[in-house]
Amino acid sequence: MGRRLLSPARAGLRRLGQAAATLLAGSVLVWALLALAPGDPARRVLEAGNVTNPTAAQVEAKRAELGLTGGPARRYGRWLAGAARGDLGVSWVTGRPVRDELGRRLPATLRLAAAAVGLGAVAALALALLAAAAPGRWPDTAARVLSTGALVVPGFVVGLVVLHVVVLRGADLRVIADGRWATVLLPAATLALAPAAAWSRVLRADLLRAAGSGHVDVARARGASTWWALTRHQLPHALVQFLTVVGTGVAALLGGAPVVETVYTWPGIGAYAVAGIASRDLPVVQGYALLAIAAYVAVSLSVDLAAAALDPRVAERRR
Amino acid sequence: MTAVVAAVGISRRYGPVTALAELSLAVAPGQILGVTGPSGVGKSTLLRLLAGLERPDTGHVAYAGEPAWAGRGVRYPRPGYVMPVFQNPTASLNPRWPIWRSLTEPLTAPGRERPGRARRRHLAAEWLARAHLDHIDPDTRPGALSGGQCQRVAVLRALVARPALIVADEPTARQDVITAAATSQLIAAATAAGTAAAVVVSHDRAWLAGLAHQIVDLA
Repeated sequence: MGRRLLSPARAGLRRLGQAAATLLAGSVLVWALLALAPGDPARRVLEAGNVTNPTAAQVEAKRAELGLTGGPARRYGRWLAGAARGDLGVSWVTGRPVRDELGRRLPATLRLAAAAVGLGAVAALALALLAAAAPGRWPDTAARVLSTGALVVPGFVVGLVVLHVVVLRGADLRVIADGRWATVLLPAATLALAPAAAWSRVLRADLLRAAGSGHVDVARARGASTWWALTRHQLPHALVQFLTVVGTGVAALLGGAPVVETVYTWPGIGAYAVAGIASRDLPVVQGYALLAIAAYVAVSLSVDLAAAALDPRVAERRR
Repeated sequence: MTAVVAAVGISRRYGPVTALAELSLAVAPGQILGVTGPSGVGKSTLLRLLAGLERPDTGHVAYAGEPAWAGRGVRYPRPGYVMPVFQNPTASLNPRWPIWRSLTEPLTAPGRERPGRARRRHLAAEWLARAHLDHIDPDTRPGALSGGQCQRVAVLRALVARPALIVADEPTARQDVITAAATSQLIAAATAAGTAAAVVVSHDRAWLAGLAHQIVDLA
């Protein structure tokens, strides 16, 4: 072995450092959004507060209040310190703190994301097991056709078609999406469609790779069924990789959430961010982007740590 | 006496490559058949065909007189009738499982009563002791063992299944003389009782001559 293995503690610390660096780099980009955007934020905030023709003194005062004085480094520092405390500025449209606006809509998005990840992971697992149990035969082909279809059709098209069908058929005017668990199924399924398709392909390949190991041949020779070999030998091997792929896929879900939320009028932060973009409400867009980055970094960090904990070979080295 | 395994005119092609052409052989209970020959003559393919891991393109394989490929899949007279031992011992043991679990996996075959976890650990320790491998902790994983140790564990697992036939593909490749001797002792002991037969592939003719009753040269 050429490379020395890092101790788990050091590897963990290094991973934590990487996460912090990613978060910091992301925050610079998000902050630059505001710094590079045309127009004067102080003026926009005053206008949002119904001060249509602010005096120079009022603008100056607002600018000081918003921390817009000094060089870029100082302004970024102040903004970052504020963001770390949860202060994401005020909406240019409503004049209310972005944190409150996002916080109010966050539970709906969390519900949607959780349902989508759960639904997608289960669907991917089922599809991949089905395909890997009979590689090259019709269930495998059907799974491939299904997942390719799910991958190439964009989420908003699926959403529109689903809405159309549901609204046309169910003329009982029932609520289709209001942010509660009871109505999460359709938007979550729409959101999960493409990621689940990708996950199932990765898992199928890993399952079949594991099937090439000698111990799977031995298990089959001693009378193990296809299902037994799949679940006891192949799946545990493929699961760590699957977990990583699903974790990374959460980023895709976050990216797809604004579109799906908008199509279904789901009252989450994604739809709010789209509205923010439409009304050029930059602090809202910033707040959403920052939140998405933080969520992505947190998810991928916990996936990495979980994958390490799940792998008994890592535990072996620790002993 | 019915042959443990009989092959009649079996051949196997991988695309345009003929891996094995028209071979016939039979192995009687208690017999060790050595297979040798240069690389690429189909030694490993022959073993995979005899083990029922692959279906021959032509010809027939029979276990105890019964055709192995009657329906869509392979049909063994009973689970664990044929147990393979592969060249790469670390890949043939599940790296995620402790040794006791791999060793006693054949005991969990369908149709047998399934021993509990504590019982399986105990049985694994017993088998290890019987093979003079009691220095191996049943709780270690393959990654913590040497290649030779893994290979003897793999051979031992084959014996746990009480097979009628052991097929071993280069079981002593990458092993020193002493480890190779210990491995062949395990195989010889299993067949000495007359209950199991073995087909052993190796390009080490001298080692094979010391183990097998009969040697087939595929060259």
